[in-house]
Amino acid sequence: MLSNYFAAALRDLLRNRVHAAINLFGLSVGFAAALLIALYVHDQLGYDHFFAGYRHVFLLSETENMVDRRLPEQPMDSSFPDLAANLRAHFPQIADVVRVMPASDPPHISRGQVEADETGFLWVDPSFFRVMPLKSVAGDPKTALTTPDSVVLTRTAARKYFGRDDPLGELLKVNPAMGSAAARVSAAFNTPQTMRVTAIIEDLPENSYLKGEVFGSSLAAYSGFAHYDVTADQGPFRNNGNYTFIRLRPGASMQQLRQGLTAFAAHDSDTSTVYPPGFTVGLRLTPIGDLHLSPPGAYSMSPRGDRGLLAALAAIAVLIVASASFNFVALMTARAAKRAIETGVRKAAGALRSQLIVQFLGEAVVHVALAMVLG
Amino acid sequence: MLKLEHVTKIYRTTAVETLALDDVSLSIGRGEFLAIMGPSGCGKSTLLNVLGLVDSPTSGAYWLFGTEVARCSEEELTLHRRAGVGFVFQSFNLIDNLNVAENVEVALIYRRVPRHERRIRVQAALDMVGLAHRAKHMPQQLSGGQQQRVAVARALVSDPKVILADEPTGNLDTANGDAVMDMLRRINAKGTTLIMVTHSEAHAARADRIVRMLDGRLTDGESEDVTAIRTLEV
Repeated sequence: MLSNYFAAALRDLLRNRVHAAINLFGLSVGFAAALLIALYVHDQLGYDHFFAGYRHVFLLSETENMVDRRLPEQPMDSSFPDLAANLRAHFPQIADVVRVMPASDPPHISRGQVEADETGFLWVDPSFFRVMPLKSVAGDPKTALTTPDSVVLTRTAARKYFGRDDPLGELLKVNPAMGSAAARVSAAFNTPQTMRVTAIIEDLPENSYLKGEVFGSSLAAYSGFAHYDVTADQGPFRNNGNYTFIRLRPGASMQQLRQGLTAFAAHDSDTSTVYPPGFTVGLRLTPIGDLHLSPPGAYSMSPRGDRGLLAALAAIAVLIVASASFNFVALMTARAAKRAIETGVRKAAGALRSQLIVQFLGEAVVHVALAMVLG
Repeated sequence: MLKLEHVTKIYRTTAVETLALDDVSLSIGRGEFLAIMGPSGCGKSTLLNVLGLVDSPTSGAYWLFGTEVARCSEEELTLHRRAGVGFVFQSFNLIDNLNVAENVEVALIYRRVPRHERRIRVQAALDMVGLAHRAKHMPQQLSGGQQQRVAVARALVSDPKVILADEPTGNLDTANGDAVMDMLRRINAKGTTLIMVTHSEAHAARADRIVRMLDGRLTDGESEDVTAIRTLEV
C-alpha cells in the first residue's frame, strides 16, 4: 500500500516541479528563518544554564547610597570584595562563595615566543570551580587554585600559549601590568610573575555572563584582590571591579536568606565590618540562570539581553511559520482538486476515509519534512 | 442477489431539492447482465451509485448479497464494496500518477492482498484484457480503448461478485466499444453479475435484460418481476 502511495506522490511531485519548488521553497525559507530565531532565543534563555546546579548559584549585587555625598541609589552587579568572607560567617544557607575580579588592565602573558595582552584574564578565589563547576580537560579544577602561583587555562588558552590541550604543570610568565601607580605600592603589580598551569578546562560557552580564558588565583600577592587590600588607604571608592557569587546549600530557604541579607545590609554604621560609615546598602540575589535577562545593573561584566526583544522575535517566528503554512495549505488545496479523480477511484476501490486521510496527509508531511531538511 | 425495494434518493441543498430516484424497486439475479437506459438526468448514474454503495438511499431498502445495507455507515458501505463490487467508468478514471500495473493494483491494496499475490493477480487481469505488455506504461501513453481495458482489468482483478459499468463505451469509437463489450460479456459469462448504464441500444441489446428510466422512475413495468433472465441461486 505504501509503495502505491509513494509512487503516486513522487510522480505528482515530478510532474508539477514548478508548483512543488514554489511550495518547498516557501516552506523551507520560512522554517529556516523560524529555526534561526528559535536558536537565538534558546541561546539567550539558556545563558549560564550549563553550570551544574546553576539553580543554586546567584550573583550577589549591591545597591549603594552614600548618604552624605547624596549619590543616587543605583543597583550594581559589582560588590565590595570584603563582603564574601562575612557572608560565609553569617549565613549557613550559603554553601560557598566566590569573588571574581576581571583584570582592569589586560595582564601581559608570555611563554617562549608567544606573547599576548590577555583580555580574558580573571582573578578568582580558589572556590571558583566549586561554585561554578566546569568540565575539566586536565587536572582537578576544584583544587587547582589553592596555591598563590596557580593558574587555570581554558582549552583555547592552552592551545594559544602551548600549542596543545594539556600543558599541566607548565609555566607562564604573567605581568599584571597594573601601571606605575600600582608599581609604587609594590613592584610585583607591574613585573612578570611565574605562574604554574594547574588545570585546563573546556572553553566557557558563548552564552555566559562570565567571559574568561585564564583564571588566576586570588591568593597571588600580585592579584587584583591583593592590590585592593594594600590600597585600603585610598578609601571605599577605590576601584575594585569585584563580583560576588554564592552557591546555596540544597534545600536552603531563599526567603530566610533574603531576609537575613536585608538585615545584614541594614547595618549600624558603627558595627559594620564591610561598609564604611555613612553607607546604606541593599543586597540583591539574582539567579545566575536569569542574570542575562534581568534588569541591567551598573558595572555589568557583560551586556544584558532583552526579554521584550526575545518575545517579539518569538512572535515573529510564529508568524513566519504560520504564514508559510497558510501558503503551503493554499497551494496544496489548489492541487487537491486535480487529485479528485484519484480520490474517487480509491474510494470506489474500497479505501476508507481514514486511509485516504493517511495518504494525503502523509504526502503533506513528506513535503514539510523535506522543507525542514532544506531549511 | 441485489434487491431494491421502494428506494428513493433526494439530493438537498439550501436552495433546491432534487428527486433523483422515485420509488424504485428492482431485483437483479446472480450472474445477470442488466442494462439500464434512459435520457440524461433520469437517474441512471444515481441508481448505479446506490447499487455500488457509493451513495445511500434517502428511503427504502437495499439488499446486497443477502444483507440490508441502506442504513449502513460510510465505513460499513466501504467494507461491503470491498467485498464484492467493481467499477468501470465512462472516462476510464485511471490515476495519472500510477502506471498500468499500479492502477490495476489499486483494487487489491485495500483488500490487504499480499504483495506477491497482488503481482500474480494483476498479471492475470492484464493478460485477460490483452495488455500485459503495457504494464509499466503510464495511462497517458495508451489509447482510449486501451485505457478502458485497463479499467476493466482493475474492476475484475479483485474477483468481484458484481461489476457496475457507467457508460463504459461512451468515450470510445465503435471498434473499441465493441471490443470492451466483448470483454465484459466474457466476464459475465463466467458468472459475474454485470450492471451497465448505456445510451447505446446496440450495446444494451447484448444484455440479458434492459430497464428503462425516466425522471427517476423505472418505466415499461420493468420494476417488478424479472422476465427472461438467467436465474441462479444466490
